[in-house]
Amino acid sequence: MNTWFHNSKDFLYPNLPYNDVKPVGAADFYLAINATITFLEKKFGKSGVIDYFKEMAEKYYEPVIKLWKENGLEGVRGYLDDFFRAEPNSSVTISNEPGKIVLKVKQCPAIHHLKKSGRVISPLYCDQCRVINQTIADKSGIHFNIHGGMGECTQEFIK
Amino acid sequence: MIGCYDFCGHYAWTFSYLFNKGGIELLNEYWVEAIGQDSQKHAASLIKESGFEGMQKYWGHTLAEEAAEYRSVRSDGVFRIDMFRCPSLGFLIKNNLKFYKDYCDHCIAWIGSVMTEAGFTIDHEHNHKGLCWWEIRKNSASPQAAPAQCRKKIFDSNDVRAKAQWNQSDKIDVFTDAAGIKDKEK
Repeated sequence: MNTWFHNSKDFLYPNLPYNDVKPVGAADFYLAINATITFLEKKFGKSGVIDYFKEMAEKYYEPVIKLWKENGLEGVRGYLDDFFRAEPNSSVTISNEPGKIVLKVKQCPAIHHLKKSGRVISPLYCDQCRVINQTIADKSGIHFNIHGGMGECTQEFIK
Repeated sequence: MIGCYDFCGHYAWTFSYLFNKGGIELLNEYWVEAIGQDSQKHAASLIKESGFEGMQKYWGHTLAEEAAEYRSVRSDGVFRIDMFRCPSLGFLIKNNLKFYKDYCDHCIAWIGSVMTEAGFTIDHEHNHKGLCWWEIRKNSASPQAAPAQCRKKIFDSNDVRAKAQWNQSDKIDVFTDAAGIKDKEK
């Protein structure tokens, strides 16, 4: 076994399923996410992109489904707190209200970086939040709403 | 939301998704078109415009941002990178994510397409454990004329092949005068 990547119990974000050694992600990766969506739309159309998001939610984010299912809104809150701490230049507020968590994205880190980099943003870019969060929420017994997009949005997670 | 913090995880998952949909042809098309020509078009422009200087600028920024352990050297006719700890594959190993059979192929696929377009060719080896080396030279330069060429011999003490971890791998993929994954030696 290659042990040199396993040299510490250094999970910075216990509520994220996958952890890195650095505290914040590299913003240029948003360029690749945008390019991936553009490529998939060109190859398979909008429905192909939606299918990709759904399958990613069910398989890649399976540990998040488990976290939310087992811990309810507390799990959602922990995940969102850690998630946005690890994304560069994000500006969000996350509030607990009776029976729900409200996430207000004041500056979406991805849209911010894509605009700053002068990239053409896929019109389907924001569908990732809508479809992935919806799918994870559905499988966790949580109701999900989203309003807005392209840089600012409000998401509600209701139990 | 798909985050950039765990990018390498869902990127690798996407390889498997595309491979299952359309085989290596679709996956290679994704690496070349979506990554090489779209996502990394800033790298392509830099390298086309400024050659080795552009490579130095691009990898200096991106490998620092990704917290890689590497060294790069440049001499007449050759740009060389020795990667001692790939942050990208390292993320997968650390998190025990095994989505696609050869994650490392994505690099030679997109970099190969960018270099070919800019008039360069590549010698490269990766050991599937987070170590690799690259020598990029102009198409027109012969291997003998390039002072840093080291296909068969160790370049210096910082050559990744001189590290003990290099030989921990039971499979090393080799590319010579390569432009992409089709050039992997059998």
